[in-house]
Amino acid sequence: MLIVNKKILFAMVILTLCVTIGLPLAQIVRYENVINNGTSYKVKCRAYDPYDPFMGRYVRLNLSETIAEKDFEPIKNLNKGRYFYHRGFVQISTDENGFVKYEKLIGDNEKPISDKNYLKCSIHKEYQHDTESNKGAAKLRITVEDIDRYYMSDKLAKSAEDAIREVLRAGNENSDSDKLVYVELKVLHTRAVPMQLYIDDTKIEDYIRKQ
Amino acid sequence: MAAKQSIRWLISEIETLGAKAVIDTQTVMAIKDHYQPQLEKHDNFSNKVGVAVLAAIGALLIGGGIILVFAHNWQDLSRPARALLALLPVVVAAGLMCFCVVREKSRSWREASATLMTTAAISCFALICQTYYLGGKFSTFMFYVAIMTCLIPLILPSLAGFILSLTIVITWQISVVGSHIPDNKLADGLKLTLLVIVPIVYYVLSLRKNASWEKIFDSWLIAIAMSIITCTAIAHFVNDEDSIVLYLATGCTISVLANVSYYARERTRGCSIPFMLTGFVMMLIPLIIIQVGDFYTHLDRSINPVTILFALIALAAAIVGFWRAVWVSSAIALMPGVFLILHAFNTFDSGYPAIVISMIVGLIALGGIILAMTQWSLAILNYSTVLLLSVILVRFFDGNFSILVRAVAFIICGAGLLALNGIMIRIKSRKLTNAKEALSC
Repeated sequence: MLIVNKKILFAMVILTLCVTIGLPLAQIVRYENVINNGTSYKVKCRAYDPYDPFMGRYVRLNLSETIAEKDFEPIKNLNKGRYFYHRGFVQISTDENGFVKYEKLIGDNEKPISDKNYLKCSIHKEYQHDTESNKGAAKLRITVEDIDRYYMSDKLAKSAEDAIREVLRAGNENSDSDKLVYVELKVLHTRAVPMQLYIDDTKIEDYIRKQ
Repeated sequence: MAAKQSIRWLISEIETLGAKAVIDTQTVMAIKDHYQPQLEKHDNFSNKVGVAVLAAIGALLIGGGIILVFAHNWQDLSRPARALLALLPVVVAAGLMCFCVVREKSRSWREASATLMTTAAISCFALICQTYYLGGKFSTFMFYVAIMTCLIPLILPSLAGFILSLTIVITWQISVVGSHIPDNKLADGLKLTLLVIVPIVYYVLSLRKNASWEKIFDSWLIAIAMSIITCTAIAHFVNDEDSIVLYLATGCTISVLANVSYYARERTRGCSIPFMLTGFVMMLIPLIIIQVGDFYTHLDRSINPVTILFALIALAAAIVGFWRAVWVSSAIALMPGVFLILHAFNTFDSGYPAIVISMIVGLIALGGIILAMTQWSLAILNYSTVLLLSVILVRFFDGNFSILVRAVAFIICGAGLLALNGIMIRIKSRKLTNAKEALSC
């Protein structure tokens, strides 16, 4: 052994055990708490099917929405200018159908209010020409961060991507199409866990099997 | 210790000579008794290394197999069951680790246990991320894995644990730089310092305990790993062209200190060479870049305080080097200072800095070659010749010569290098023979 002193060795073994078992256990407890005590939100999304060498195949979620800048209070201490990229939080609530509604944007240098729910996001200002007709039409693209994957088995992931693409294409071609792709999130303060991916209010796994 | 094949050959020859009665049986037995323990030592060592490597590979396969068994039925399990199953490999590996520490098990056990613990930590965290659909950055994932595995080499001294731990820290550091997201650099710096301390402590402690081959192997590992970590850290923290001077200063400092250690301490001779060579490579590449005129056209005109700090560190290393008579690399360690002086005199628009630096490097290289000839040192000769070649390479490529002329010039340079080495080896061996003859007289 490199460390001859038994007391130091013992302390290091205890520390390693605490870290190697405690860290994953803390993650489990933290996210179980979000699942059990968090509020459900439905978030519309797009998805495609990539692969992670460590964690396997998953459906990659893209939770981004474009909003009008004028509907939101300006974010404090935000870098000004025609273009910007900023990281922060968006305060959320639900509409009458249970879908997420963005209430307020705050920068990551501000502290979120403890009894409200937030999603971590990146904020892009979309390019607008400074013309008379465009005044007040500046748009912000809000992309939810850290919620970008929904794991599925190898067989189902590709079919899921195809099904989602089909539904989104139908929605683009026919505005009357009422099929929606959304993910159900459980959110507790600033932590969020994806629970289930839905197409047309049906769990994606069941939807693929039905097809 | 003599080589294994030589001892085998000697024993077989002695047996033949004994059978032919050229030497008597007693002498045969005495020689065999003398060399037999050395042969056994060789065999034991080979067996130990073989078993240790096989144990590490076995642990890796077992870990992979367990993951595949889980993965097969993964989707059919409930979320809490998946979470608990994710923890299981780490709990089993931690149990094995405690068993190895308490019972002070052999090298093979330690190698296997450290490998299993590291793979279990990676798989556990990956499975938890999968269970809760956790996304985010790869660097965050690698940081958690690095935290979980960083102490393993200290508790279970093993080569596999050391290699895996260094690989994880490097992967994390590269993924932080590659993520291109403006994170908190101070926090990243503190995390890196914490994670790098453990392999360094392991290395320093292992210098006292391990076999000589392992010390040299560990030295190569830590020298290469620290060079990669330093380069990526510099690229992360200093995002302008000045960073090339920081690489130069770091390379010079490593090279000078390794040289000082090489000449000062007989005990660490083999261990200094990896640091000397990696430091030399780290120093040579930026040295070539700052001799190219185009480098100065896009350079930031303001002096970065971090560059001044690194130049001072290199200067301190140079002073130590001159004090311990390490001439060539100590002279090169003054180059970051020369670069700053040229910067201060605002010569970057004129195109002179590249020529000035080339001239100084050329002079140092010529001085080094003369020094090598007087001291009969092959190391200094090659060190200086490579420096001279760097100057020729950079200056030569600036000219409008045809490919053929350049090819011939390269052949002449290569032949010159080989010829110089050949002459030096010949003179050295002649001197050695003369010294032996003088001693025998």
